[in-house]
Amino acid sequence: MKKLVCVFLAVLTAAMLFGCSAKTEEGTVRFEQVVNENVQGLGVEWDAYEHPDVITDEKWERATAYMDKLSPAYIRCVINLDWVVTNWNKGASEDVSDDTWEYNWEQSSIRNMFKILDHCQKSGIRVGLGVWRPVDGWDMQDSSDVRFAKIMADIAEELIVSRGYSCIFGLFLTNEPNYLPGNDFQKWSTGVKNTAAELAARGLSDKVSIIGPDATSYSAAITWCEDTVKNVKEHIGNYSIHMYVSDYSVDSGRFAEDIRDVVNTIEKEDKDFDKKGLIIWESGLLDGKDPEWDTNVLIDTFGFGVRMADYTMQAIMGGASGVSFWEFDDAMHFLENGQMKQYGMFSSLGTAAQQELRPWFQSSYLLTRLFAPQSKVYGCSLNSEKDTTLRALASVSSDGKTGGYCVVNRGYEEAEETFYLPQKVQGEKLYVYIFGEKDMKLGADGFIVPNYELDGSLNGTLTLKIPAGSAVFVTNTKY
Amino acid sequence: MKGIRKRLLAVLFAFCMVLPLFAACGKETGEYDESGNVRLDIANLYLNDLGDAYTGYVEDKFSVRISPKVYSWADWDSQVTSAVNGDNIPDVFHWNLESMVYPTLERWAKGGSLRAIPDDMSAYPNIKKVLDSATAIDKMKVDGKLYCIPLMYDINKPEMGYSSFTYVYRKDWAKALAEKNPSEYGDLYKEDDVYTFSEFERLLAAFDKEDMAGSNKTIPLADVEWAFPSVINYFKDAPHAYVLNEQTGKFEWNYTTANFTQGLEKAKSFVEKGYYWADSYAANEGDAMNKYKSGVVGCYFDNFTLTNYSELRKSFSSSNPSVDLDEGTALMRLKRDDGKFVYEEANNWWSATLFSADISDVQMNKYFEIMDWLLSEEGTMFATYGFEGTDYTVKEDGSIELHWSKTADGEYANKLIGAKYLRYSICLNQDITSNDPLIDDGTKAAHAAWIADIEKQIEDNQVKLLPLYSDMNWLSLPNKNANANLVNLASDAIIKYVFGDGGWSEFNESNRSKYEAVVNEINTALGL
Repeated sequence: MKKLVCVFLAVLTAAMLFGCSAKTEEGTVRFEQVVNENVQGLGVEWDAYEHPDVITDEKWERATAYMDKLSPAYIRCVINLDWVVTNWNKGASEDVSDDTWEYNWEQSSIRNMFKILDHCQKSGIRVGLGVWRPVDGWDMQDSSDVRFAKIMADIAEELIVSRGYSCIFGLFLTNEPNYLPGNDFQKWSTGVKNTAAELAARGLSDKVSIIGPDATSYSAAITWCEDTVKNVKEHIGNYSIHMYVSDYSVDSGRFAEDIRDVVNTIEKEDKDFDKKGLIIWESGLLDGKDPEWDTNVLIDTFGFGVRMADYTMQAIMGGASGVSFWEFDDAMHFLENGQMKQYGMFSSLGTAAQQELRPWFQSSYLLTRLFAPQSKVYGCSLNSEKDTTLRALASVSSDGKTGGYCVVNRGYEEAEETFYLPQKVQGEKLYVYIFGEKDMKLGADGFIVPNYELDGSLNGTLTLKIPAGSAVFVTNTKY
Repeated sequence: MKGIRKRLLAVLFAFCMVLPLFAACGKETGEYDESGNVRLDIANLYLNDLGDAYTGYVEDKFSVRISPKVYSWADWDSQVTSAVNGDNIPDVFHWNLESMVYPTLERWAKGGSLRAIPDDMSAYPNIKKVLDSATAIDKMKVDGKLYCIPLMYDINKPEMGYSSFTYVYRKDWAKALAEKNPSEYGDLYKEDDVYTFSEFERLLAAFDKEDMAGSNKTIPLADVEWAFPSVINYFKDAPHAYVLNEQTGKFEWNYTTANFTQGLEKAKSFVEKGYYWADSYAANEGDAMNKYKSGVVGCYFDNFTLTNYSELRKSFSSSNPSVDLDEGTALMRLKRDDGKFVYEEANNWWSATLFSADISDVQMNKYFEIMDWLLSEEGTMFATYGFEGTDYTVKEDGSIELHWSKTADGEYANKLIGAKYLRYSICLNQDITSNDPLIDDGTKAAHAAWIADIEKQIEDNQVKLLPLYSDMNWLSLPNKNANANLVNLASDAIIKYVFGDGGWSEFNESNRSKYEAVVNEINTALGL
C-alpha cells in the first residue's frame, strides 16, 4: 500500500509536467489475462545482400550498429542457391543421383552471408537460414528433387559443423512455396522428408530443424499449416507463415483472429506446438504497397510504425510466438531493372534521406525489447472493446526483472487510460517512450529515448495520455 | 462479422454433409474446403496479391475460398493454351479472345474443355446487363451456346465503339520552338493540340533538328511495342490483314493497297530520317514508354486509357519535375491529310473469362454471385473505396470523404483492394477508374477533355473509323483458320522492312497463294 501511494504521488507530480495523472482503481485497465506464454521474441529479415560490393565498410558498420541496437532474438537470412552451387555436371545416367556439383563459398553474396552469420554468432542472434528457390536456371524445378535435399544438408553441415555457426537453428526450404510456380504441398513436403533424412544421416537433426511451411496469405497459411501438421510435423522445428495484411485487418482487430485460426489449426494436431511455436517470418502491410516497384510508399510514415506495432501485438495476442519484420535494409534487394526495393527500416544506399533510420525502426526496437524471449504477455479489457483504435499488452520477463507495456492509439483523438499490472515486476523507476510524429524524442545517437522518467513501479496504477496516432511504451528499464 | 461467418459456415457445412445423400453435389473432389467454403480457382492477368482484407471480406460474404493464379503478359496465351491442352484448366480463366482466335474457342468448346454459360442469366442481372450489351456477343457463340463472358471496358458506357489510341507529345517543346523561332516554328504550337499529319511530320523534324532533349538524346517519335509503326494508321483503310474494297465490294489483302503502302513508306522514311527511335526494332515491352517517361521522346503512341495515361504522367512527373505536366504529356488530336481524325473501331470489350468444363454448378453459381455483386452499386463502391465507415464515408451532399492513409508527401497511398482485381475478371473497370483516388484530378480532366473531343469529332463526322469488319473477322473458315498467323508474320515483315532488313514485296509475293485463298474464301462465304 505504501508503495502504491509512492507511485501515486510520483505519477501525480509527473502528470503536472507530462500529462500523466493518477486514477482510482475504478475504470483502471488491468493487465490480468495471460495471452501468450510462448514468446520467442521478435526478429527481422537480414538477407545476404544482392550487391554486397557497393556496401562499403562504413555502410556495413552502420548497418551492424543498427542491428545491435535493434537486438532481435533472431533473423531470417535467405540466399540464392546459384550463388553457392557451381560446376553442375549431369551424371552418366538419367538418374539425377549421379549428378555432381561443387560449392563456391567465395561468391560475393555468400561472403556477405558469412559476415551476417559472424555478426549473429557474436551477438547471440539466432538465424533461420533459407533459400529463395531450388536452383535458378537448372533442371531442378522444385524442392522434391533429391539433389535439393543433399544440397541443403551439405550447406547445413558446412556452416554448422565445419564453420561452427551454432547460431543457425532452422532451415527454410524455399520461400513462399504456395507462390512458387509449379510447386505444391506434395512436392514441398517431399523436400521436407528428403532433407530431414539427409540431415539425420549427417547427425545434424539435433542441431538444426526445418522451418515451414513459410506460405503466405491467410488462406494459404491455414491450408499449408494444416497439411504440414498432418503430414510432416515430426520434421518441423518451427512453424512459419508470411502475413502481409491490409490496414483494415489490423485496425479492425481481425488480424489477431486470423492468427488464432492458424495457431488453432496447428495446435490441435501437434502436441509439441508450445515448444516449436509459430513465427510470422515475413511481416508487413499491404496498404501503400506499389506492386510495380515492390515498395511501400508509407514506409517513411509514423502511421506505418504505429500500425506495425498494433500488428505485432495482435500477432502475439493470436498466439504467435514471434514476428520477424520485413525487412532490415532496403539495399538487400533490387528489382530486375536495378531499382532498389523499399520496405526496410533504412537504406544503406539511396539518397541521404533514405539512409536515415525510418520511424518504424524506433518502434520496432522498443517492441523487440518489450517482447523478449520467454516473456509472459498479458492482455487487458481494452483489447476486447468495440473501439479498436486502442490496444494494449504488457510483458514480463520470466525472472520478473524486466517488463513493461505498450499502448497503441490509432484514433484521431488523444486517449487517457489508467493501467495496472498485477504481475510482480522489479524496479522503482518507469520510463515512458512515446512513438508518435509530434512526440518522439531522439538521443544524440539517433535512437529513441524516453520522453520522461518516473519514480514508481509497473505494479502501481499509472494514468497515461496516449496521443492520437502513437504508441506509448512504459518500461521498468531504460532501453 | 467473423462469428456470424463461422455460424453460417457451420450450417452450410452441415447441409453439404447431408446433400450427397440425396443428390450429386457437383464436382466430385475439391468443391468445398474443410470449413464448408466453396473452392474456386481463378486465373487472370489482373489478380494481385490476394490475401488482403477486401478479398477476405468477399470470401467471407460468399463462403468461398479463392485460389488466385496470375498470368504474365509475356506468355499469357501459352499459359492458357498449355493448361487447356494439358487438361489442367483453372475453374475460371482469362483468355485473349478476339475475332481472329474464334476457331480456337470453337475447338475448345466442341472438344469438351469448356463449360457453357446458362442460357438464362436473369438471376444475375448485372452480368446479364454485360452480356446483353456486349458487341459481337452472338458471334462468339458456338452452336448457339456462349462459353465466355467478354470483359467490357465500361459497363455504364456500352456504346463506346473506338480504341483510345493516340500520341502524347511534348507540347512544352512545341511551345519553346515557337517562341524561339516564330517564323519557322510558330504554327507548330497548337493550343488545341490539333495537328495535320504534315504538321506532325514537321514537328518531328523540328524536335530532331533542335535536339530538344539535349546532348543528342532526342527521340522525336516512339511507339508502344505492339503498335509499331503507328504512323501507318494515318494512311491505311483497315486495321489488319483484310480490307473491303469499296469499289469492287470485295475483301482484299490490305497490305498491298496503295494507302497501306504509302503509310508503310512514310514509316520507313521516318526510320531513315532518324525520327523513329532506333531501338524500336528490338525493344522489349515497356521500353518505349520508359523512354518517354525519362523525358527524351517527343511523341509517343499508345492506348491511352485513363489508367495508362495516369501511369505515364506519374512517372513523367517524377523524372521531369520542372516540366509542366499537362504540357509534357499533352494528348495530340492528329488528322490524316484528308482532314479526318482517325481511330480504330472497336468492340466495347477486350478479352474474356471462360470456364473449365469441370467447374461444378455450385462453383459456377458462386462465381456469378460474387461477380454480380461486384458489379452492383454496393460492390462497385466497395471495389473502388473499400469499407464504408472505415475507408470512406458518404457525406450529406453525396460526396465521398476518403480516409485512406497518405504518404509523407500528402498523397493518397496505394491501397490494395483485392475486390477491384476480382472485378477485373468480369469487366475492365473503366467505370470506376474515373473515381480512382490514386488518379489526380488534373489527369482525369485532361483525359476526359480528350475523350469528349473524340466523341464530338465522331458526332460531327470528322473521323475515319478503321472498320472492325465483325462479319468477316469472326468467320471460321478452313483457309482463314489455317492462315490466321499471316497477320503476325506481316507485322514482323513490316518491322524488318522499315528498318531496311527484309523485302516487303517478297513477303507479300511469298504469301500470295495463302492470302488469295483466304480472301476468296471470305468473299464466297459472305456472298460478295
